[in-house]
This record gives sequence, C-alpha cells and structure tokens, in this order.
Amino acid sequence: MSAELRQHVELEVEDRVQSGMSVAEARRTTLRDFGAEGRWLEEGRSARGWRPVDELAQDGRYAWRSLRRTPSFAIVAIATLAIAIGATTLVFSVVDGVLLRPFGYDTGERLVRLKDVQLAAGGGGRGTIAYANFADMRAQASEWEAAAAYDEWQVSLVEDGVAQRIDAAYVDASWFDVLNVRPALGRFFLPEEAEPGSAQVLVLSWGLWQEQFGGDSAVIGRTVETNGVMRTVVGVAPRGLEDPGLSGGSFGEPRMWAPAPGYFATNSRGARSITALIRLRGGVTYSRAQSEVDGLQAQLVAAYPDNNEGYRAELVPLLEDRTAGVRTPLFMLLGAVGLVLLIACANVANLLLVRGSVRRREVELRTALGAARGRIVRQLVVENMVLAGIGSVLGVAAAALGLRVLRLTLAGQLPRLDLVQLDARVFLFAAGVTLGAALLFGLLPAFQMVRGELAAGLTAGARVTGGAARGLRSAIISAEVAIALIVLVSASLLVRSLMRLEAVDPGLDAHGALAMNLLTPPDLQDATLAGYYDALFDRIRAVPGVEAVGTLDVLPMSGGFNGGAFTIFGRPEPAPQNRPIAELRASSPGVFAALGLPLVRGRELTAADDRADAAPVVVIDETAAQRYWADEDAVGRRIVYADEQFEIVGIVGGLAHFALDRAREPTVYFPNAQAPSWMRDDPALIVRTSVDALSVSDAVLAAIREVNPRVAIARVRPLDSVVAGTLALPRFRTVLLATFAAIAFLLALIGIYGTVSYTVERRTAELGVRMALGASPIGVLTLVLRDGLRPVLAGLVIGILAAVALTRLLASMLFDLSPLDPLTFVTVPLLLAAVAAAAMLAPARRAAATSPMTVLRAD
Amino acid sequence: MTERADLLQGTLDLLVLKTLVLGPLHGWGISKQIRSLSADVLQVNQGSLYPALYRLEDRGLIEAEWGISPEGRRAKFYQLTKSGRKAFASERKNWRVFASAVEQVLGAT
Repeated sequence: MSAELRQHVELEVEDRVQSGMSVAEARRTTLRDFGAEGRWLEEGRSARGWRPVDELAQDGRYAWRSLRRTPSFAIVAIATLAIAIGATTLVFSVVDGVLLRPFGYDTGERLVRLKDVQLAAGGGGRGTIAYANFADMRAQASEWEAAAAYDEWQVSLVEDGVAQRIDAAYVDASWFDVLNVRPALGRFFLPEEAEPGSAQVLVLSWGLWQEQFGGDSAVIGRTVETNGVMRTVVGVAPRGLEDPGLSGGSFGEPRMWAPAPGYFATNSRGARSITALIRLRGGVTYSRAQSEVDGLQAQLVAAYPDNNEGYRAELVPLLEDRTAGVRTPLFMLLGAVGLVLLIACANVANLLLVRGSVRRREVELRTALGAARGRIVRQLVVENMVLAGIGSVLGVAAAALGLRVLRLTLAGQLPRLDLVQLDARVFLFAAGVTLGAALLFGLLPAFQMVRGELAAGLTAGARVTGGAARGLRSAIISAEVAIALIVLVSASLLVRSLMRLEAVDPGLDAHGALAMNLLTPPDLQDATLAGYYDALFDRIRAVPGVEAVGTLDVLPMSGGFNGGAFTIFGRPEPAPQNRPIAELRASSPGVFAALGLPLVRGRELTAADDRADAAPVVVIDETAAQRYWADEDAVGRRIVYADEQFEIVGIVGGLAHFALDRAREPTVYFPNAQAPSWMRDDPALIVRTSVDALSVSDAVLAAIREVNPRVAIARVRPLDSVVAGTLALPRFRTVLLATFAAIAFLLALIGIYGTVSYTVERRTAELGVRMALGASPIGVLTLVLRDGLRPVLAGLVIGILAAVALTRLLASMLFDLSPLDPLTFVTVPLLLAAVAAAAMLAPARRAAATSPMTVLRAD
Repeated sequence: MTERADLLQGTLDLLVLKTLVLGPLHGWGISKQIRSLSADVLQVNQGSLYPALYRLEDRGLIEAEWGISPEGRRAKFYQLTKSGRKAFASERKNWRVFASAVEQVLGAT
C-alpha cells in the first residue's frame, strides 16, 4: 500500500515535470502537497486491514468522551443498569439455589418423604409417622427402591470427662442406601446392626470428624461415650453431604447417625413421632407411587382403625418438603425483581431515547460529512455496550456483596442458603436483557437518520419533537409508574403487617432472661435427677443478678412442640377427634417466674408438688381456661391424662408457642416429677436476671458445670432472640420487598424527572412563543405540570387496578390486615403523585423562567 | 491558480464512481481524470482520495487488482463492481435532485 502511494507520488512528479517544472521542484512541491508521508501512510493503514480494531478502539474512546461530557446521564444509566442486573442476578441465583437445585445425591429427584396428614386438621402439621405403619408399608411397596426411618436425637458426647451436646439422628440401617452416597472413611451400617442386641455403632459427619476427632483416620474402630453408652465408630460420611432437613423442632442438622438397635420397634402405632425417607424406583412417577401408598394406607386403616382412621399418607418430594416455608416469599421476590428489571429497562430506554433525540443533530452532521451509516451505528452500539459493560460489572459486584450480606443476616432462616452461588446464566440473562433494551432504544435515532435522506438532514433548525417518540416516552412513564405503584403498595402492606405482628404480646416477658438446653446423663434418674435439679437451682440462684430459674421441657417459639389430648373429668366423653388438646409441658417450680408468666388465679407449682409421691396436680394457662372452662372457674376441676387424674391448682397467663401470628395454643403444665420420663431428660433452662442476660451467662454456665460436669449445655441465648426468631422470616420478606419498592420508586422518579426535563428543553421555542403571546409564567408552569402529570396519572390508575388484582397473592403473608386495605390503597398513590409532581417542579420552573426573546432569537 | 473547492466526502465518492464507469484506473489516474474533466476546478487531495477508495472498496462498490499501467509499471487498478454500478446510478440521481433544489432556492427572487 505504501508502494501504491509511492507510485502515486512518482506519477504526480512526472506529470508536473511534463507541465514544465524542473524535476527537483516537481518533487518538492509534490511532497509538500502530499504532506508528511508518515501521516498518509498511517491514514492508509487505518483504512485497511487493521481498520476494524482501530476503529473499535476509536469508537470506544469517543464513547468514553461522550459519556464523560454528560456525567448525569452516564451515572444514572449505569446505576440503573447495575441495580437491575445485580438485583436480578442475586434473586434468581438465590431462588435457583434454594428452591430449584436438586440435592446432590438426588439425581432424578426420586427422594420423597412419607408424611401422615390428619384429614380433620386440614393438612398442616409436621407429618410425622408411626414406625409400625411404615414397616408394614415397606414390606409391601413395590415402587420403593430403598426406604429408611429417621428420628432426631440429641447426644451428650463425653470426651475426657467433658460433656458436649451434639445433634444427631437415629436411622434405619438402610439410611445411607437411600441417600446413595459412599462413605469418606470406613463403612456405613449393616442390616444386622439394627437388630436388638447387636453391638452399638456410629457414623460421624465429616464436620464432626474434623472438629472433634481431628480428621484422624484412626477414628474408625474407636469407641465413644454417647449418652452413657459406648458406641464404635464405623464410618465417616462424605464431605459436603447436604442434610435432607428431616430433623424437626429445635434440632439442628445431625452430626452423627446411629442405628439404635430395637429403638424403632418400640415406636407404637399410635405414637407418630418419626419420619421416613424413601427412594423411589427409577422411572416411577409421583402419582403412581402415591396411589400405591394410598392403597397401603387403606389396608392399614382397615386393619388398625383406632390408630389410623382419619389419617392420609402422603409422599412429598424432598426438595419441596425442605423448602416449603420459603417457597412463596421467594417467588414473590422473583416477581418483584422482575418488575424492577422492567422499570430499569424502561428507564434506560427512556434515557437513551432522550439522549438520542438530543444527538440527532450530531448524527445528521456526521452523515452529511460523509460518515458511513455503518460507522455511525457501530459507534452508537459501542457507546451502549460501554454503558452496559460498566453497568454489568458493577451489577455483578453488587450481587456478590448482596449475597454476602444475605448469608450473614439470614443464616438460619433460608434453608440451603450456604450452598447458593451466583449463577452465571442468570447474570448473562439479565445483562442480555438490559443490553438488548439499551441497543434497541439507543439505536433508534441512528436508524431513523440513516435512511439516506441527505437533504432533509441538512435542514438547519429543525425542531423535531416527534409525535410518535413522545407517545412512546409517555407510555414508558405510565408503565414505570404503574409498576412502581404495585411494588410500593405491596411493600406498604407488608410493612404495616409486620408492625402489627411486632406489637403482638408473646405472653412471656422475654427481656432479661437467658435460655439454654441441658442434657442430663442417663445415670441421673428419678430421685437422683430431682436431687440434681434442687442443687442446680440453689447454685444458680446464688449467682448475683439472678432473680428466678426454672426448667421447661420445650421452650416456646423454638420450634419444639408436644401436643396431646386429655379429657375433662366429669364431662361426657367426646368423640376422639373432638377431644380437648393442649401443649403439654413438664415444668419445674419457679419456671413461671423465670418466664415472666403472671399468675392469674390459684397457685403455682411448688417443690412440694414436684415429687413422685405428691398429689397429682397441674397448672393450666388462660387460653386453656377460656377455651375449655369458659363458664366456670377451672381451679379445682380435674383432667384425665394417661389414665391418671390431675387437679388444676392454678391458672397462669397464656403464651404463644409457635408464632406470633397464630392463635395461642392452650397449655397444661405438669410438675416434672409427674410428667412422663421422656419429657424430662432434655429440658430448657430459663434464668431470669435483673441485669443484662448475657452478662451473667458465664457465671451461670460455671455454676452448672460446678454442680455436674457431665451435664451437657447447648444453645445459650437470650430469650429475646428466641422470640425475635419467629419474626425473622416476616422481617426478611418485608425488608427485601421494601428495598425493591424503594428502588422502583427511585427509578420511576428519575425517569419522570428526566423525561420532563427533556421535553421542556425541546419545547423551549414553543413555550417562548406562548409567553411572547401573553402567557404568564404560572400558566406555563401549569401547562408543563399538567402535560407531565398526564402519563403519571394514567400509570397510577393502571397501577391501582393491577394492585387490586395482585395483592390477594400476599394475603397469606399479611397479619391482621386485608390485602385491599383502604388506607394503603389511598395514601400510597397520593404520595406517589405528590412526589412525581415535586420531581417535575424544577424543570417546570425552568420553563416558566425562560425569556421569550432569548428563545426566539436562538435557532 | 484556479480556485479549489473543498469536496464533501460523499460527493467525492460519487466522482470516483463516475470516473471508474469509464474504465478501470489506478489511484493517480483517478485524481488526474477528475481534475481534467472538471477543468482543474476540482483537485483531489490524495489524503482524501485513498481513504475514499478504501471506503468504497469496503462497501463492495469497487474492487482492486494489481496490473501493468500504460507506462509499463505495476500499479493497483480499481474497477466498479455490479453493486458499484447500481450505487452510482442512485447516487447520481440523488445528487441531481439536490443540486437542482439548491439552484432553485438560489434563483428565487
């Protein structure tokens, strides 16, 4: 190519020589006219071969400069993109990781849980089953490949004389076959190890093996003391084994498993306290497996009607069971984030349309100067890609940060959260959507222009406000406002509902109380157990700051439950499904003071009652009294439980056992000594202090260890946090939705402000003319506001209608609030309209302040 | 020296296409041809000519080939492609519309 140019020079020199110049002069003038050789070599080079790369770089630099010249546009566009991409990526990743991703060992999703559902109760409940029924089914089910029973278990692991409490599980020997995993070390259980009389064995979790046994492979064959029984470790579970989440109540993930020989066999047909996991045969559909189970259940009902009448056996896919509580809020979030993405795209589109119109002149000029259409289009594409690129990078960073924050704040609330990763596909989708919107709307002006109308383009002073473009912008604003309204109304409903929920009185006085769980070794029984508690309470009361102490077998609002039916002495026996039920508790003297439950009538339980040979008495709470003894004084009445009569000696205040938004459950408190023994060996200890609860915890723990070091202590926490725990999920939902609502609101406002600003700018000439013809500044202000508010009002109307239709989906999450709450539906749109009008005020005032003369002169 | 008018890029393309309608030429030949056909009014700066040639080639309107010039030298010759001929026809029409419009305005009293 330089050869070509060199030749050109030669020919030109010859030509000049022919017309009379000397060779030297011809050369000199030619070179002078040509300019520095390097320059056109360079230009030649950039016009060849390297051109695409060079031009791309040039486009990039131009785009960067052009963005820097309009920083507010660039910042807003990038921020909008970043928020949209980041939020979408985060929420989709969380939904995918929590709800959709199957368990690692469940390829084909064949794992199901067997649940018993009480038909009269309408379907809720934990769904625990009876082993005897399960064993009968297993013997006959042909669609099951493997099945194992499971029961949560706590272990007091004693090493070097110090007891530690470990969450564990009793399982059938076939448990790990159901999961279909291989041991990391050693082996899993043999069928005979579940037979009564067989040697006691144990499998450790990877985590426990590392923490407690140092990851030493010599652990296989070691014996450890668990609840006073020596068990041999035979294997270690694989690393990263995801727990199926079958442990109910306040039990955590099991860190060891044991096939307690004979344990399940003692589980009677009426005591539904275990759960079962089943691996279906390959290729079996859920419905086929379910109909088989229905048939087997019918047989059981026929054979054992007393225990099985009124129950339905259900197979629930494991993933569904594990994520049941969080399905709805997460999908709701997905909807919200989708809406935010829409608004963000609309905003970016609007911003680009505005910018495109402003730059039309520039595009026209460049085309007139000979720029190829392709080049212009490409430059705009590069500009949009720079925007989208920066926005994407920031969005990913925001998503990563958001995930870290989620992990910190929601540690226990969202199941499977610790395994969630940011999903690359989702990121690409979100980035793709926003890039697509950016490209589409950013290139509109270029396409309009580059249709080859040279003449029209060069006409100076053309003020193209563009009817069609304006309609599009208005439509986008209306859509944004509508969407923002929907999200704002939903968030407001949730916020009000949360406030009402937080105002509910839990019944107990949580402030200043400490709670923990104790696990007593099996050698403390009956008399020695009672003696232990006496000594323990005395010792704890001696700790300065302690006001009251007591034990309760199940702590309220900690997920544990122990409901039972009883009969009221002296009344006709009701049908089995109508028997009075209550939460049954084994309590020590002083526990009511520790919990802060007021005594309403009668007396409390004393140490005198807490003896095996004392007269059988109970204390009930107000909820029970109002439900079952509404017209009479319950004190002095008798109830019958487990074939024994108990006299009601007192009534204490009611409390919420499970959640603040449920009706309070009636409670019957038994003295420890008279409660069944299985209620007594794992109590919660509650200590009420006159000072900050945590400040005395060390002293209390020391006191407990002093009395008996073989008693394991776990889960020391303030009672406040137990109550707050029930609010964690509603708080999470509300905070998240409120955040999205705020983002949507902000984006809509930015969109409104930007559009009105631009429109005012474009209409400067028209407004100037109006003012010259006598319109007042106020008139112009009103005009601008009115034109600006029209799409906003349209959006509000659409938004209200849509919200009315959609908020019923939130009904289950609202406490004591209608999804069509009038106050919310009136104030939120008004607020939105007012703020939108305020956003328009600044540009409107600018319009009213234009001097007609300046406007008309400038063209 | 007669006046030199600066040429708009798009117009230059048109002129190059026209020159090549008459037959293949190398770069210098094109600039010479334009100068002589316009009686020295339009003198094409090679800083504009070669970029224009490469642009046209990228658009597929002309194609280049090395050959032997009438002076016996090796030179790069450009010639019109089929789409080049079509483009020339439409660009010429556009130019005529534009030029006569400008003329009309200038001629109005």
